[in-house]
Amino acid sequence: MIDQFVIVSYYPAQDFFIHFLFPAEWPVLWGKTKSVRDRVLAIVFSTVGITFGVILVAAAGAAAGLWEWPPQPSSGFGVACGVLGGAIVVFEMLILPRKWLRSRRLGSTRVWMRWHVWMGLLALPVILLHAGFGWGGPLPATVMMLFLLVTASGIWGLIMQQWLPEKILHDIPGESIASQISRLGQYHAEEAGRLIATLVTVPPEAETSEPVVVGPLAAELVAFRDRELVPYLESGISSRSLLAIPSDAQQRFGRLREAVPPAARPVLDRLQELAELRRRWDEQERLHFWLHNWLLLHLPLSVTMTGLMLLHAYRALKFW
Amino acid sequence: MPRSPSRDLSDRYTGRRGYFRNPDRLRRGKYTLAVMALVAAGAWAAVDVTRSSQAAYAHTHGPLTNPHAAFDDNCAACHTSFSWKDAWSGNILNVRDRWHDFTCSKCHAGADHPPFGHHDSATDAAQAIHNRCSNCHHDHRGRLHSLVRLPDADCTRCHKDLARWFDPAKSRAQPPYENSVTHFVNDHPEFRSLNIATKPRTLTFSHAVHMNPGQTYTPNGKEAMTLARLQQWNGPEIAARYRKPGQSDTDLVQLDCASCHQLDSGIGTKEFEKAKTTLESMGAPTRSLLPARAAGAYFLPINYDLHCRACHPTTAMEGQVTSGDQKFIVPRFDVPHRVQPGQLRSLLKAGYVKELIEGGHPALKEPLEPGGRLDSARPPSSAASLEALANELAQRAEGLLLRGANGCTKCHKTIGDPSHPSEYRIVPVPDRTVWLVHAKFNHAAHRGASCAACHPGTQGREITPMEANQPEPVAILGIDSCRSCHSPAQTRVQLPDGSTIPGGGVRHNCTDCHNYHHGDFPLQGRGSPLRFPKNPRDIADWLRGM
Repeated sequence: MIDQFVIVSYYPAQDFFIHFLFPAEWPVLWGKTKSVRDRVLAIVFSTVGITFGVILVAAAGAAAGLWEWPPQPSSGFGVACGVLGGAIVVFEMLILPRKWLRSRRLGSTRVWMRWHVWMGLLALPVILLHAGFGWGGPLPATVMMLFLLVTASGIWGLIMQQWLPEKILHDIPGESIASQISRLGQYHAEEAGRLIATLVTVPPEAETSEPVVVGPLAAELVAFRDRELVPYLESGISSRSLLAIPSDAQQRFGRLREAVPPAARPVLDRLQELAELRRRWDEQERLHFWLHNWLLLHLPLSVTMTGLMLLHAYRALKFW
Repeated sequence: MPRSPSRDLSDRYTGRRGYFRNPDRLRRGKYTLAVMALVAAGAWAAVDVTRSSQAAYAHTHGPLTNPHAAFDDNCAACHTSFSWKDAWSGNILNVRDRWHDFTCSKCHAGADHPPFGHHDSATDAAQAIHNRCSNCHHDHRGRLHSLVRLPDADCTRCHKDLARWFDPAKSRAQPPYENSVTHFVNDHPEFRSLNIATKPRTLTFSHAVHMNPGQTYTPNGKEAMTLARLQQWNGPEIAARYRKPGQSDTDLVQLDCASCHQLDSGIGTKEFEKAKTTLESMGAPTRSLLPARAAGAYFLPINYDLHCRACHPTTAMEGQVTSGDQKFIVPRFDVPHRVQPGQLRSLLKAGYVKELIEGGHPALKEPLEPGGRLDSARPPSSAASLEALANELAQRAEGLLLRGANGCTKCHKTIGDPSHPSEYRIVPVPDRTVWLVHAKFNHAAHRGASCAACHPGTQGREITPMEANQPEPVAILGIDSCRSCHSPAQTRVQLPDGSTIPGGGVRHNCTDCHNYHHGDFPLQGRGSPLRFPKNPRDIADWLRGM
């Protein structure tokens, strides 16, 4: 407690409240597990546990005579669940402006994400209780389906976020910024072009008049550069190059290394290193896509669900 | 100086340090789809608000039931709209209450009127439940959903502990018959109507005798009714009505259930024409006595003129009087049915006077006294003589009709002292036209079963006159006979021989037998004036839900 007071005393007033309301010490999931398997299991168990826990509490309340069971959407309890669920959904959507306004000091992203995850998991049983475990009419059913898809995509994303970053860290040494891989491929293609040019041509500042590689071998190196290496470095696996296959690449570079003079072998080593880096980035791109593709579903469906939820609330309050 | 690896990495972004400001394909796709989703949701909302009637389907739990189908797209036809003004009255979360705010009374007036219908003796709290139609009648469950076929829970909410919801001060009858009724099969009392201790039957009738050939106590008994005898009494038309195919005049009359019990008047059928002929041959008013076409669920009441009179005519006895040395026969004549003893003497006297006059009694041949006045205070001796004769005959005939073995009391119960005809009365019949008055039953729906299956003791059999001339016990099987079919499927049913067979499976909800709000006949009987809407509308307004 004393440490906390010492820490918050450095923050402006609004940060005090943010840190009071969103304590950074809370774990995202139970147990602070370290292995991917345990973290994924924690997500699954948290989802199931929160869902059944809240429903059991509600059932106990019904058994105590506080409300009826199964809950009816239009009962006092059902409406309270609807209002709470709606408030949670609105809170969940606040993470969007929080992202847009990341330059403002509105609490750390980590704390926001923790609340986003926990409240999202809590919303599932609350909304199920509100719906009375039913679908309702077309609009409520649509909202419910969207809500379930949003929740499922969120949980899926959460699992991916627990698993793939560690996999990337482990499998992709030399990881780069995913969005810049294409740009970096061009950068490396230019470097590869320059390196091969230094082998087959004589630079102006060179002390000798003979290139390092001459004759048919030089032509083969140029052809290798233009037809295989540069396209692969620029476009990766989509170039359909054999260099994308590790054994083929190893064989290809091995043959070249044996054919060229010893002075040219460091250049070939560098070229092989660039090809391997490109291969890892291809893998990184693939993993990056799976790390983030759930957002293609999660965000648009969230927006639709929120809009239709507000319409449902308006209609329900107007006529029910 | 060698370059550090970090510098090598950094050099990759030379000239593109702001790369993070340019979204990648994933981020662009994410936001593009989000905008499209937002536009789609907005379009849905716009259509919903601007064309609310076309979009109403989106908010319903399902199509309305057939009678309400015209209002599928018109929420406001039934629902009370919630306004923002109400939001500040503290009931914004009280959705259930507002959800029950319907405008049913626009078309269904009177159903919520406290002194009306099934729940008029309910406490205020119970009445509050019943005043909201939708507490029990749930719509939006499809075209074929019945609004009156309710789940048992809607009834047992009160009927599992009726004392809690019953207000004796409001009751016009006895306290609740059964405090707790929760299930037709497991927890339902025997039919109250079958206990006739407090309301005995008022007619003596033996099904056994009437179902025997010739309507005798024993097979081949005396005084058996033959078709020839019937024809002799009533003429060929009536005999033809009771003649079975292939029977000759010497055959005994054989009745069956349908000889008297009819679900339908049968207008347009041969049977109806025969009944009409029967009544016309007796001079009875067919339009009054023949019933109109009925719904067919219940049997039509037995009618003396149509069903009894052929064999049990009410006639005044034949009179034999003397005038001087002459014997004069006064023929028997029909006495109107449905008259009380107080009226009987004067009817008989008038009848005998009429017969004496028409028969040309010798006293009528006596001339008026010379110089006598037509308006004399003293009646002429001939008239006095006839009156005395008629009085005497009427007195004897009255005694036979009231107290004779084949008189009124053969069938009817009486009250009062027979020696004081003015106080002596015949108890009206029928005492019951429908037995299970608190429930509904459809005989036509049960036509597959024999009559005796549910009405034991109504078959022909040997019977003593003593037993036959007592009111019959109730010939309706109790609730267990209903349960043999109206119970959960595969219910074990014990037969009279002690063996059991699987039965059940037919529906057995409360509303399968019980109707409320006088629902079968909303515009007839008690409370019916309240069922008329206060402001009846034309078809256009009705379709608009106004």
